[in-house]
Amino acid sequence: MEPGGNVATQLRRGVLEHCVLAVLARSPEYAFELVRRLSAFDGLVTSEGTIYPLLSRLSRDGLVATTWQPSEAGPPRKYYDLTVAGRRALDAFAVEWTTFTDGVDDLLQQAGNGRSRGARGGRREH
Amino acid sequence: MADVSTDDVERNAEQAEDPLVRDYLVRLADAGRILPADRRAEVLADVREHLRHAVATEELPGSSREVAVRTALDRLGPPEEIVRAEAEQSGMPDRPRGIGGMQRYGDPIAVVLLLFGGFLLGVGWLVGLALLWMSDSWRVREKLMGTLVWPFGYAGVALIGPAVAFTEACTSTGTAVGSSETTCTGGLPYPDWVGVLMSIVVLAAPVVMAALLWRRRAALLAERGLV
Repeated sequence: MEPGGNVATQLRRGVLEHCVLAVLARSPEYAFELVRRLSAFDGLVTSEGTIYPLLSRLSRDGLVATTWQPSEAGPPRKYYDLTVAGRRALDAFAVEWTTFTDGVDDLLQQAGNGRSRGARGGRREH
Repeated sequence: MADVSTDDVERNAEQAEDPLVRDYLVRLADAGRILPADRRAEVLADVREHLRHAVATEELPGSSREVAVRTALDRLGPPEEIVRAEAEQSGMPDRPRGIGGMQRYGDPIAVVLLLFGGFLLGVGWLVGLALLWMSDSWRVREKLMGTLVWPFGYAGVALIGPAVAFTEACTSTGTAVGSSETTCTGGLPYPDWVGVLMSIVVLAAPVVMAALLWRRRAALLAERGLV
């Protein structure tokens, strides 16, 4: 794999952890359900397995908390919940994200004025 | 309720037996050797639990279990990628620095010493041997190969090679004559071309061994995402 990866990989890398926080903002989630919920978004997750390292890092950083809850059958299940720090990080991201995407949208729009056909063709090639 | 739990327990037991799942977890454990022990254990536990539920979720009535397992594994992605993600998330140093000094400098030194270290009074080869067996880059199979082809490397060949040929010549002469007449004329007991062929094989073997060691090391490092 090349060092930089492609555009989608780069974008995903920066955004995925905040998507985890956003999912957990609604309600605590069981690990498997959380992973499936995230991978339901097109292009957000290519390998489900790589989310677990992310989850454990978020837990070490104190942005999410894990609890073990007994299940009706089988071993206890690991649940993830948003912490206060996680909520703050999510709020901060939401503000950044809006500013950021607005700016990028503007730029793309301007580029589209000049050579929208070429730009679109280029994108299809990738 | 009781039925559900029995089902689930049976399913878990089944999964433990599933060769595809087992292979996958072995691969993950193998690739995860570069991780700190606690990180590796957690990744393994997470993935194992994920698979337990993924297979159960994917398994539709009427479809084969194998399809369910394959789909679940496919969605998980290659174990190496999970390990790479874990290394990244736990802030392990990146690619080139990911190789320890021992692996970076010890491995090439080991290979060179295995070939030529024997000429340094034999000690060089022993150092090479120690480096070979201490390195993380090779499995026991490759380490055995490095040890046996040939002991003391080219120094061993230079020392033992002529002696072996000479002894064989003597023995052959002795049996052929069947008497006490054992004049070692130095004549070889086989045609010249066999001797040449054997010499080439004996001389080439260490180089082939070194190349194999090197290739295996490169493959392993690539697999661990270190190159």
